[in-house]
Formats: sequence, C-alpha cells, structure tokens
Amino acid sequence: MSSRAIAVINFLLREDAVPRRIVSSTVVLLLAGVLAFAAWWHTGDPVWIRAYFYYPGALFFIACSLLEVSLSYRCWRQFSPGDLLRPAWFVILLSAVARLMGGLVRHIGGLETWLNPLSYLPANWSHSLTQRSFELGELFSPLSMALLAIGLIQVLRACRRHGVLGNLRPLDIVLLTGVTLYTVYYFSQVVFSPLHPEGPVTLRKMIAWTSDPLLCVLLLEAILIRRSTANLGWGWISRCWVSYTAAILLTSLGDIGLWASAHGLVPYWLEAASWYVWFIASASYALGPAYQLRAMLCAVDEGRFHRALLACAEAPAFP
Amino acid sequence: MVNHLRAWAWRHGVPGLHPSIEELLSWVDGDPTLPAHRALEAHLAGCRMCGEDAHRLRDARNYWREIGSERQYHQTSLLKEGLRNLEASMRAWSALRGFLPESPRRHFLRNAVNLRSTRAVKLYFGQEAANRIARSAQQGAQEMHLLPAIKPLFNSFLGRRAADSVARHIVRTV
Repeated sequence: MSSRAIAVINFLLREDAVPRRIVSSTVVLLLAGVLAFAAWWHTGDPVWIRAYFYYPGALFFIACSLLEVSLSYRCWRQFSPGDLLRPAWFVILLSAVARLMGGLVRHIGGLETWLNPLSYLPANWSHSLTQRSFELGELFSPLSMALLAIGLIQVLRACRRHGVLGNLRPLDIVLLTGVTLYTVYYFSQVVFSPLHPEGPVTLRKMIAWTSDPLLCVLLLEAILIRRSTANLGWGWISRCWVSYTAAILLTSLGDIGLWASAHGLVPYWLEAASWYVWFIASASYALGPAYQLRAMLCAVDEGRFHRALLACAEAPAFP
Repeated sequence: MVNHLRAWAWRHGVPGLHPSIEELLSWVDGDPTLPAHRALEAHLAGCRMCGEDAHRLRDARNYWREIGSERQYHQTSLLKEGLRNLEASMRAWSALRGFLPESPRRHFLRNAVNLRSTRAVKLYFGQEAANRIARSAQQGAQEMHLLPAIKPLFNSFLGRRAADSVARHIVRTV
C-alpha cells in the first residue's frame, strides 16, 4: 500500500474525528437509502431497494463492526491491569467480535450477492452453504448480547461506586414493561406453544430464542446507564455510554418492528422505516468506543488536553 | 445510653457484642491489672477478632513510641492529609449522588487547581457533574482540594494511566 493511501486511511481514522465521520457516513447511507426507496416506489422494481440493502447496507454493517472491534481493542489496551473497567472493555471487545462474526456470516456469507465468496461455488453447493451461513449468523446475536450485558453490569457497578447510579422513572418502567410483555407474548406464542409455528425445535432455534430475554436485560441496563449519565451531563465519557444505550434501544425497536411487520401490525411506511433503524443501531455501537478512545487519548496528550480544557472554559461559568 | 447498654451487654457475655475501639485503646494504653479491665481481658481470651484488634493497636502504640518526634510529625501530617482527602472524596460522592444542597455558597472557586479540576470533570463527565463537584468543594469553611476527590472517578472510567495524566496536566498548568 502506498504511503499516500496510508496517510488517507490515517486521516479518516484520526481518533478525534472518528465519531464525526461515523455520524456523517450514517447520514450519507440513510440518504442513499431514501433515494433507493424512492426509486423502488417510483419504478415498482424491487432491485433498487434490494441492491441498497445487499451492497452498501451490508458493507456498512461490516465496516461499523470492524471499526467497533478495532476501537474497543484500543480502549481495552489503554486500561492497565487492575483497572475497574478493564474487564468490562474486554467483554465489550468480545461482544464486538461476535457482532462482526455474525455480520460476516449473515450479511456476506448468508446472502446470494456478488460479495459472497460462496456464490462462486457450483450452484447446488452455493445455495445450501449460503442458507447454512445465514442460519449460523443468527447464533452470534445472542452471544454478542450476553457479552455486552456482562460488560454493562460492570459499568453499572462503577456508577454505583461513585454515587452516580440513576433510578428508573415511570416512563422507563412503561418501556421495560412493554418490551417484557412482548417477550412473554412471543414465548407463549412460539416457544411454549405445543404447535411450534416456526417448525421443529432445534439447538439453533433455542439459542436464537434467548435474544429477546437478553434484550430485556440489556434494555434495563441501558436505561439505568442513561439515567446515570443524565445525572452528569454531556461529557465525553457520558457520550460513550449514551451511544451504547441508543444502540440497544434501537436494536429493541428494530426487533419489535420486524415482529410487527411479520404480523402485519404496522403501516407499510413504518415497516420500511424500521429497516433503516438497524444502520443507526450499528453506527451507535461503533460510536461508543470511538468516544471512549477519544477521551482516553486526549487525557494522555497534554497539548490536546489543554486545548479541550480551554474550549471547555469558554462555556458558561458554574452556577 | 446505647454505649452503656452495649458495654454492659458484652461484659455479661451477650453473644455478638464486642468492646468498642475506645475500650480496647484504654486497655492497651492503661494498666491491664486494673479491675475495670478484667472483663475485657476475659473477653479477649475468648474472642479471636478482638484479640487481633488489640494486638494491632498495641503494635501501633509501640511503633509510635519508638519513632522520633520528627517522624511523628511527618506521620501526623500524612494522616491529616489522608483524612482531608477522605473527607473531600466523601463530599464529592455525596455531591454526585445529589445529596448536597442545590444552591452553592459562593459563585466561584478560589483555588486554581479546583477550577481546572471541575473543568476536567465538565469535559469528561458533563456540566451537571462539574456543578455538583464544585458545590462539594464549597461546603466547608475552607475550600477543599478537589483533585484527590475526583481522581478515583477518572481512575474508574478512564483507567489509571489516563487519570494520572489528567491529574498531572491539571497541576502542571497552574
């Protein structure tokens, strides 16, 4: 790779600019999505929307997950052995790796596109392997959720230790009750139903079923972290955990959207909107470690720290 | 009243009750043959936990007597500083929890290190956290040193390496 290309990559991945670049690339992708949707609506040809989700959409998921793995790894390395949140960042890194693996197996290996190396195999092999890959991809989601839940528990412990742990508010309880009721309803209709509408019970399905209860746990943690950071303000560390909270909330929203559209409970425009939520969730997962790394690297760089503190001093004085 | 009841209870062998640290200190400092100490000696003979506490207190007393007055002065200064930092940390914890009154006594921080410390808290955690920390410094008669109080917060969320750097930058630029 030429030195010019390396310089361009370094410029794009400069730590202090990464959060901004994630947000701007998400906006560009969503605008492209709106155009693809409009083209589909206008022409009636689904190839527009399919091409959008299969190529730029799939690549965006992979790029976000790759970025999340790389940034989480750097965050974890910045902590010293014995630091309170070092184990948390290690499990968050593992969770990011599981999400990346899931993305590769499901969005690249599980779809019949030109990006899928399996599609270059003989047709009978290609089809069955692609289907297997798609099914395998489902298993990584509960794994990544379970690991993230473990990591966030440790973050909540740190919040409690420093007296910043927030309390649930009535709206939070309503939201949690809604998601829990959805999970209970899903389990009663699908998991515990003697008819098993989704076909015979397999180990893969049993693992996939754990996604919804895990999402309930993650949502509870995310809301508590959101309340805790709301007690503090809008600092760099707070932004990191608010990003994870947003990612979890959006994942829940996307999940409910999928279920509602499968049962024909939402209008078509809302169903289409719920497809795009996954891109914002994916970007939010990458934003978390991006903010954390920016905060950590600024702390060790005296020049950057002084500049940031000066900018901070220009804000209104303390009450 | 409660202390008297408690003392009466452990002297009469009520299980789960032990002498207070003041009673142990009086036994370590005083004459163990005094009649008032007989009950305590009987308790120490049967209670391993209190026996170890008494042993530690006696070691500390002996150490204090052996070191010179210069080292005694140094140790006292360290102890006082540690207590001040502990008090500042407790106030910072209460402030972050929202236990301190909303309205501050003064509208500015006099100490430059404290001002920079609150700005660092604002940068990393947010305006509300900085306000609360600033209030915690203004609670006593004297403005408290905030850096030792906020360092554990940075240690937890940024790691020791980054927290040490933040503390160094705050102090160096004053």
